[in-house]
Amino acid sequence: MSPNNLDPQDQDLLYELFALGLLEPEQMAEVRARLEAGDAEAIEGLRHATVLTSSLAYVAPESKPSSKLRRRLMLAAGAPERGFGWAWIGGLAATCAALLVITFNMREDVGNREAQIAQLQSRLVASEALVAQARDLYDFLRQPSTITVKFGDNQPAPPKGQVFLNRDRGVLLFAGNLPAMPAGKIFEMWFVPKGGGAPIPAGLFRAQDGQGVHFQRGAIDPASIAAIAVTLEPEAGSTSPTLPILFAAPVGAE
Amino acid sequence: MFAAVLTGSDSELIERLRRRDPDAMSDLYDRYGRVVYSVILRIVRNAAVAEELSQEAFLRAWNRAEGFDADRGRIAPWLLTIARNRAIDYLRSTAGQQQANTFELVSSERVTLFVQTEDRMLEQEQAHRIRAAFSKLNENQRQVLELAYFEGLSQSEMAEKLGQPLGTVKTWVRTALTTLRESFHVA
Repeated sequence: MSPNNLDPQDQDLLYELFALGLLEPEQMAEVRARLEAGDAEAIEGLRHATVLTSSLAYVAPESKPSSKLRRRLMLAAGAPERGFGWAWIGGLAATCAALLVITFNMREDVGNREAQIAQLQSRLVASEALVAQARDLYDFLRQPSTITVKFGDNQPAPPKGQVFLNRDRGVLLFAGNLPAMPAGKIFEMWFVPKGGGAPIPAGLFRAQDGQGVHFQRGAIDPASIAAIAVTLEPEAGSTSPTLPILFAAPVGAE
Repeated sequence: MFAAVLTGSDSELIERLRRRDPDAMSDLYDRYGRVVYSVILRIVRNAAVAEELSQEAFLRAWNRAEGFDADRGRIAPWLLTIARNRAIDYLRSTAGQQQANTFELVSSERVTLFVQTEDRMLEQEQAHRIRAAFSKLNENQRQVLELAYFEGLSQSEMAEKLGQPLGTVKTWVRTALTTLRESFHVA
């Protein structure tokens, strides 16, 4: 086949030129007519040429379409969106994992805050107890019936301090220059009765930096007490004092 | 690489397309979606338009697959011809041009044209060969083939665009096609 006015040099490339639309309009029309008429030579020539010309598509720089194109196409064709089932399961799993992490973090955060609140509440209770104790001591000290006894003055390095006695409330001891407490030991206060009776245990207390405060509540009779004494005893306390007596404040001296 | 998706049996896929097996459309897209989109994008240079035209090309193939010969049909050249035609049509319609002397008539997409020849190359090999052959062309030869394939220009239009005599352009085209054909079919 040789279309009208075809350059003889183009004869060999006729179908490639046709496939690329590079023939003159009348030549294009002539080849097209032969194809439409089922010309076997034309069809075979074009089959061969399109293998080459369609391959020019691979010269295009590779680009990736968005995932939306696939979904739209499957929807338009009524085809199942393969992989979607796994995709949503994966998405759900990722969402659940994220929620778990958030929940865990929130729980951890809430837990931390609850611990902080409990700690603050504990401090508040302790502070309230101290305030109540301070008020109690103040009330004790300002009572007209409270007796004050000083001890240890004019000694080289003895314990010294003050003892306050109130018939209705008990005995309050402020002591300084106390010796360090050995391990497993504790200070114990004693009421030393007049008339030579055995000392009466009056409570245990600890000291810090040589300073100790002890309040033994309960009604007492100051007139029956000769002295307030302190000894070091085992931590469980003793029923009778262990020598030496660290100090003894004579009640009758005031 | 395009080559990564250009594997598998066309005949089995064609048979399933002819039966309108819903999964066949997914396979068709997975195998050729990227190369179809790439060639259309190269032509229209707009991603949104390229996706629209890619969808049209695949649906056109889906709706016309029943005419394919499962034993001898070749999907890739057919699909790529449809894809290029859609894109060139778009370029011309936006430029207000009538369809001219391009191989983009509906008859050019007839499935009977796309059967296996004696060259039973896999698409993977075909892509490799055309790129290798294309690299052998000089700049002018590459340029005229790209203007023809990706912009749908005639030789007269190319001569005008490049400011070269028509005879020079024809020589570049002829030499380029001869070189490609020799490299492509003989390699």
